[in-house]
Parts: sequence; C-alpha cells; structure tokens
Amino acid sequence: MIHFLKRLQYINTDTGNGIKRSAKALALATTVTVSLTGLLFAQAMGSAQASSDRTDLIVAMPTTWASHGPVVNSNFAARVTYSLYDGLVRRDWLSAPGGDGVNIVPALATSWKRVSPTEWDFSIRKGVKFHDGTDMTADDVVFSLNNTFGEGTELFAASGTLKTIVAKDSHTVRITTINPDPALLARLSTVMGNVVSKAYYQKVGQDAFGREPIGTGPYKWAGRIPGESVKLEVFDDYWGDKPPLNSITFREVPEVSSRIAGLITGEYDIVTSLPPTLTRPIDNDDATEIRAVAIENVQMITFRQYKKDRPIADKRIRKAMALSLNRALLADKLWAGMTEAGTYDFPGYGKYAVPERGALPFDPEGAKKLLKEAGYKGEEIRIRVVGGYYTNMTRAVEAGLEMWKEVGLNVKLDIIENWGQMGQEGDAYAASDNMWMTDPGGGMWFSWGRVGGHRLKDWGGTAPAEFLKLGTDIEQGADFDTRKKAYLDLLDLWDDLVPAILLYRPVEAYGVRKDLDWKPYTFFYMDFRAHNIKDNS
Amino acid sequence: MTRYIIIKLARSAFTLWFVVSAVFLVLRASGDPLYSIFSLGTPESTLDIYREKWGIDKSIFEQYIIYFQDIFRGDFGTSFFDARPAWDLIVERLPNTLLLGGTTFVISVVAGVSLGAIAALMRGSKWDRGIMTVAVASFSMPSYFLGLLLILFFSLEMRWLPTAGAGTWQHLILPATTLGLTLSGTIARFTRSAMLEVLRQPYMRTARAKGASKWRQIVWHALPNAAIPTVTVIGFQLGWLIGGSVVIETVFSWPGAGRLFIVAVGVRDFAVVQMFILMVASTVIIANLLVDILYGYLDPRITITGIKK
Repeated sequence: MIHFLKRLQYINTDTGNGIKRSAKALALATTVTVSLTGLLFAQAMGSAQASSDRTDLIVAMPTTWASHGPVVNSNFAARVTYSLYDGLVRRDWLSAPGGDGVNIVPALATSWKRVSPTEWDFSIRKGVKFHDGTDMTADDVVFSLNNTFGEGTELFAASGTLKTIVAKDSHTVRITTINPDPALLARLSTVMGNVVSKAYYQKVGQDAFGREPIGTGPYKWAGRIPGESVKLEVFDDYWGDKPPLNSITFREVPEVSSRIAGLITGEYDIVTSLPPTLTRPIDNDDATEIRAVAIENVQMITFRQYKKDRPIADKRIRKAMALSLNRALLADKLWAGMTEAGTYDFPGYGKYAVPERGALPFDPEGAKKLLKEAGYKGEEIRIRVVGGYYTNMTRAVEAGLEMWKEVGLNVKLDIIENWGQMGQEGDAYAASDNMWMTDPGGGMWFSWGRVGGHRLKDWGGTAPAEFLKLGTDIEQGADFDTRKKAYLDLLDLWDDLVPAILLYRPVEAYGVRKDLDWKPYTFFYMDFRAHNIKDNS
Repeated sequence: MTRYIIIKLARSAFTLWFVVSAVFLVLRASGDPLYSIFSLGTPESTLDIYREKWGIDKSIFEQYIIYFQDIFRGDFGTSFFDARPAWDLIVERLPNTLLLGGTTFVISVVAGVSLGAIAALMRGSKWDRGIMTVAVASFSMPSYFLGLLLILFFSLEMRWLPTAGAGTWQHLILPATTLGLTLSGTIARFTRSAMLEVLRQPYMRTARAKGASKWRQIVWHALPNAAIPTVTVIGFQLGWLIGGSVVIETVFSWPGAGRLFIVAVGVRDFAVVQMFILMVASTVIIANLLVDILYGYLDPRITITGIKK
C-alpha cells in the first residue's frame, strides 16, 4: 500500500499535481471504508459453537426436503427419516458385507407368529416412547399401518396385500392379508412399516405432521431452516442402544465442488450425491475417502409399446435396441466401473437373487439379425429424457445414439425440462425403478404387473396374462421353490418382451471423513444408529 | 414533479402487471408441478386431491383472476412445496440476501467509484492500465467460476475461510467478494470514463484558476458531474443484487431468497416463483424511479419536462 502511494506521487497527469495527492487520499479512504465494512459485519455476526462429548455430525447434501412424513420416498427426505422412525421389524443391512444384507430383525415388534396362511400376530415392544414422551402402543401401530392403504393418507405400494390390522390387546397386533403373503416381513421392513404417534398425527394432520414429525427413532426432529438445513437431535429415551451422536445436521450444499471442498476442509463429516467420476480431490486427500455403493434401483429406457403403429411395438426391435447398447461400457465409463449392466434381479432379493444369470448381453450382430427379421427400414425412434433428472442419463443416451447407429437404428434424443412435460410423446423415455423390498414380489412386479403399478400404462393398461400369472405366483406362492421358479420365468419373460432397456444400477458415492466408522447402505437411507456409526476422532 | 411521479408510477404498474402475467403464463405452460413435487409413481388419484387443494385444476383464466384478486388482498399464494405462504418464505430469507447484497453493494460502490476515479486521474499510467485490466477481467469472468476459484484458493489451499454456508462473518467474505468484484469492475469502468469527460471541462479549469484546493476540485467539482452515468449503472445493479445473487447463493450455499427461487423454479412452485419475480421487478422499478428522481438533484439542468419530452 505504501509503495502504491509513493508511486502515485511521481505520476504526471494533465490535471495538475494536487489532484494526484487527492487521488492518494481517495485510495486511502477506499481502503479504510472497505475494511471498516468488513469489520462492521464481523462484529454484527459473531458466532458461537456449542460443544458436547458426543459428535455433532454434519452431512452435506444437494437439498433438503420440506416434508418428512413416514412413507416419504424422496431420497433427500429418506436420508433423514431413517433416523426418525422405527417399524415393527428392521432390515439388517449389515448382515451382508456390502451393506445390502436382507435379514429381518425385531424392532418395535419383539416377536411374531404366523397363525394361519393369512394371519400374523406381532408382539409389540413395551416401554417404547415417542419423541414427545408419550408411550407407543398397539393402537399407534394399527393406525400407522392402516394409514398406508385404502382410505389412508400415507399410501405406499408395499401395502397392497394388506386386508386388516387390528389390536388384539395393548401389545399385540394382528395383521390379516388378502392372500397368503410370504413377503409380509419384507414389506413391513420398508417405510410402510414406520410407526407414528396416532394422537399427534390425528391432531395436526398430514401436512403439519410432515413438517414436524414424531416417531420413535434414535434421533428426534429439531427443526428445518428452509434453504439451509434440517436438524435432528439425540433422543435419550430411545428404546434401543444409546444413539452415538449428539445431533445430525443435514446441510444444503447444492454445488458438488462446494460439497467436496467443505468435506476436505473438515466443515462436513459426510457429503452425499457425488458423481463417481468427480471424486479425485477426495481420493488425493489423506483425511477423507469415497464410500460408494450401487443402490437398489435400476435406470432404464422404457418403451411406449402400446403405440401399435410405431416400430417399438415389435419386441424384436426393442430387443435389438437392448442388444446393441453396450451397457457394460456405459457402466464402466459413466460410473467409474462401480456398477454393471442392469437387470431387475437385485442382490437384495437374498436367496431368490440369481446374480450369475447376468444381464442381456451386448450383441450387435444378433441385433442386426433381429432388425432384418423385423423388416426395420430406418424409421425414427425418439427417446425422451428429462434433462438433469437422473445422473448420467443424458450422456448414456447420447453415447447410445452412436451405438444404435452402428447397427442401423435411427434413434433421436429429445431432452425435456421436467416431468410435467413428459406427456405421451415419443417412443420411449428414461425412467428408473426401485427394488422396493427385499423380495422379488417388489421391483418389477410392483411397477409392471400389480394393480396400481406406475408402468402399467406402458403395456397399454395391463400386463400380458403370462406376466400376471408369474407375478401372482411370486406374490402368493406357498413355498420357496414355487416362488423362485416363477421369479426365474418372469426374468426370462422380461428378456423376451424387453418392455424397457435396463441400463445399470446407479451408484451413490459418499465422501466421508476417514476416522468415522459409518457404512453406506445400498439405498438412500443413512443409518446413524449405534450399530452403524462410531466417531474415532 | 407530482405529475411526473404519477406518470412514472403508472408506467411502473403496467410493467409490473406485464411481468407478473408473463411469468404466470410461462410457469403454467412449462409443466405440471405435481410431478416435480411428488415422487414418480404417486397415484393420479392422490395428485388430483392436491390439484384441487392448490387450485390448479381450474382453467388458466380462472386461476389468473383468482391470483390477482388474492394479490390485491395481500395474499401472494401458498407454496406447494413448503405448504406455507410464499410471502413468509421469501421474507424470512430476505435478510440473508440483503446482508449479502448490502455488503456487496457497499464494497463495490466504494471500490468501484474510487478505483475508477483513480484510474481517470492517473490516465495512461500503469495504475490506470492495471485497474482497468482487473476491472475488465472481473466482470468478464462468470461469477460462478470466480467463486469456485476463490473457494479453491482461500478455503481449500489456505484454509482461511469456510467454503460455503452462512452464520458467521467469515461465511460472508467469499460470496460478497465474488459479487463485489464483478460489480465494482463495471462501476469502475463507468466512473473512469465519466471522470475523464469531466476533467476536460472548462469548469475544472475555472476551479483550478480560482484556486480551489485539489481535493475540493475532485470531490466538489469533478465527482458530482461524473455521477450521472455512474448513478445510472449503480441503479441498474441494485435490482441485479437481489436477482443476480441467485448463482452465487447456490455456489456458496448462501440461504438467501435467490436459492429459494432456484429450488422453486425446479419444482414449479408457482406462488414462490411469482412472488420472487414480483419482488425483483419491483426492486428494479423502484431503483430506476429513485435514479430518475436523483438525476434532478444531481444535475439541475435535467428537468421533468426534459425527461417527459
């Protein structure tokens, strides 16, 4: 600065010497004012940090959600609600090394018994408290489950087989299903099983409940600052193991680079939603690391096969599109090799899963043959993609255009802005589907077969008879062999009909402080119960 | 003067009506908000309940009438996403935006005007060239990119400042600097050229001749005469400070109204988007109105008749 002022004195201008001195003064005034402004705000915004023996965890994610009701499925809300609620039973994700275990363990129910093919009795845990201090009883369980189907306000697909739920006494609940339901426990371990306080829910209603939820989980709601964060605090009366964290703040950090920078500087303990190809700064950092999982979801290009006058109404052309798309290459390049070509078979199906079966192969020659058989003459096929909705989707389809061109398929990409614009145009569209539950009665069957499935419209209203028969066998099958056979047949039928091209399971990559023992599960849920988090710092 | 202000106000009202109507129509033409707010696969029957509840099952014309009736009653609609009044949502975020905008504004006006004046006074020197190079660079560089560069250096390399968020004064420095640099570059350039113009005027020679001190020459004679174009530019930037910080608020996770707006556009949250646009438009209009009135004070030669033509 002094140097600058000295220099000023020797510079000649056409406006006279005094002006130079004034310029000097002006420069000084500028510096003083700018510094003072800074100081002023510095004083106005003093900060204070609370301390505690237990960790105050900070998770940075792209956005927070407004509503945190029991069955919410937005991934940003699901990350939070996993700590707020418990169900009758819990999926023990840690029962397999990949964080995708399928064992069902007791939670709010201590034990259960199947009293007839369609009736189950659950003993409800005693001494469980809601976050507002009231006791949880069978009535709350009955209310919560009944609220997920029929006239309820928290509808969820997995509840489709339930008939009645009644309290036999204050700590026993009987669940009756419409048909024999071998997957009932798997259903109850989804968000459908989350138990809320009946009295509170009825008092405030669905919307207000979502904004200030009350469950029995290890952490209780401590408020949301819109645009900034959602905060949970430890619930000391939790029925299970003492929760290890003092509080969890889910902070909104929309920019990927800001999340990465904040993790490396130690402002955040965990950051979510990192594109797998942008993880190098964290790989190069000693104190943090990437923990990534392929989640129980499959991204796909779904055909509007009900359009009978379009080329994609012919299953040979659909199959040719699937065979000529090198999905293994896409999985490798777009997802840094952390996932593979997609199928509707998930490891989360446990003993039903058939990982050795694999996806439809990459077979451009086979595709050419099918196209020839079908008499395809280069008719245009348009795929609609909601830009930016699914990570990597636009890039995948763009790469696909070239691969399809190789075998003579004339495919065009239409990028639209949001789901509201999707309409019924085009021949196919980009979508994704969840596994939904640890049983093959979820997944494909939920979306493409069962009443209310949201892909039924792509068949033209209802699935083919054979598809429905196999799905029903899976849903109601009396024994393992029947169900498994139906499941395998259904996968074969899918590969024959190709209602959609299954791309891959998307990868969820977290950046995590290395001295934090925390394992990501193969879904969006983040588990901060005692069995999955320990701070070694 | 009164007549002038009335005409101005009437024009402003028309502009506001036009902006609000355009946003109203474009929003509704750009897709159904239900699919953005609810998870895909939510049954249509559930969506219909919300369409009715939010009044978007009615025709666009009916919605339009209701919207204006509500505005005149002081009701700016309810956010679909947050289920709270759009007014509350924006007003509770405004202090953050104003804090960022205000700091930026003070920094950029003081730095821009002073640096511009210094450059003019030392025209042709290394300092002039230096200041102008920085000024051009700062407003040509996308603020988004500049912000990331600053994060990279001050947070990641030096570990002096937090990367993002709000709450302490340290959080304010990087976003305010990013915005301030961009803005002060523009202001500095305008100040410089206006000052150069003024310094050549006969009255400056007169001021020197009558023996006014050099400080007085600049502050009393030169700066006020150079103020007209500078004030115009600063007036434009006032509106920009509220609307234009949208990008910077996102890069720095600053919880201001701009981020709220971005999210609201993403989920087609009609009421919030409309209210935000209304607010930005009003700010720009009011700022311009103030600038117009200020002209009269700065330069008595500019009269109401002069503007009216």
